[in-house]
Amino acid sequence: MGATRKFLIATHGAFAKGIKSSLDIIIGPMENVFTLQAYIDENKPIEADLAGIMGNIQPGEEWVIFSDLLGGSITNQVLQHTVGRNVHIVAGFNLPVLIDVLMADMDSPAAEVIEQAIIQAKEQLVYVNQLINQRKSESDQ
Amino acid sequence: MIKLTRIDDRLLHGQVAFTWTPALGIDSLLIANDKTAKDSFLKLTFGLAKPPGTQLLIKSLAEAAAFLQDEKSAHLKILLLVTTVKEASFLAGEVPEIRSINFGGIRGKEGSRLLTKAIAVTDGDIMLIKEMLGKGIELEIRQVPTDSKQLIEHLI
Repeated sequence: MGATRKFLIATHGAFAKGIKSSLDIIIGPMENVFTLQAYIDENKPIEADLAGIMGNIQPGEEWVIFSDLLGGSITNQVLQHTVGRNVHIVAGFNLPVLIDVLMADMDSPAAEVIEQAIIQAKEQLVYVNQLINQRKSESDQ
Repeated sequence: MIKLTRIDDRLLHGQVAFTWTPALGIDSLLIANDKTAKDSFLKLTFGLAKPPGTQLLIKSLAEAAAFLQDEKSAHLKILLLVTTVKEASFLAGEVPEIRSINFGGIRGKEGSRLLTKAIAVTDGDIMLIKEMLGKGIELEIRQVPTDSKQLIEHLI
């Protein structure tokens, strides 16, 4: 048995709790999934919330943090709070990548799980019209 | 040339990378901040945040002032980023090209008060603001380019 894996979804605004609600419907409620919603109260820094969560990391815990934008302040600050810790950061997440990582076998190494989940999730982001046109032209041949 | 001088204590982040940079056709982001210029990990972090097709320059205040007055920077479309009113006021004093300063985000701290929900200033800031207004420098609040300008002189 490896480290206890915990998850944090950190976003600008109410996205984190919103997508958590989607997850609860699709894969069912899970323990160890936390949310951080920044800048809803405009002038309140998120450092305190983040430090509260990151300061409580116990030995033997492994964290996967999903942030909304690479280049956003949340990713920047998460990076600064997690240097040298057992933390994996996935920026620009979507629902498919969350589902894959959360449903993965907790005994599989996080690095492998995340790498695979990102490949899958990229395939899940598609322009469906184009996909249908391709399928149509394939079946015409 | 400097397309925008912005005070934002988050420096390079989502609003800057995803709205200001394309809206102004920025090709060079210049962070002028002594702390960041000395911190290699912060520099690495901001390097990840850099929008595609732009260069990111991180300099101390003094280096940034020299760079902005060097004719080598004249052909660049620069978004100049600082964290405090004090830094902006220093650069405005050194670099005559700075005639307008955008207040993007200054979070509250001990002894500061809110001008708007995104901008908190101290008494010291207000003094510097009055000095800059006295020199005819435009001071305006916008978080993103589509906001309409709120002039600081109407809020203090």
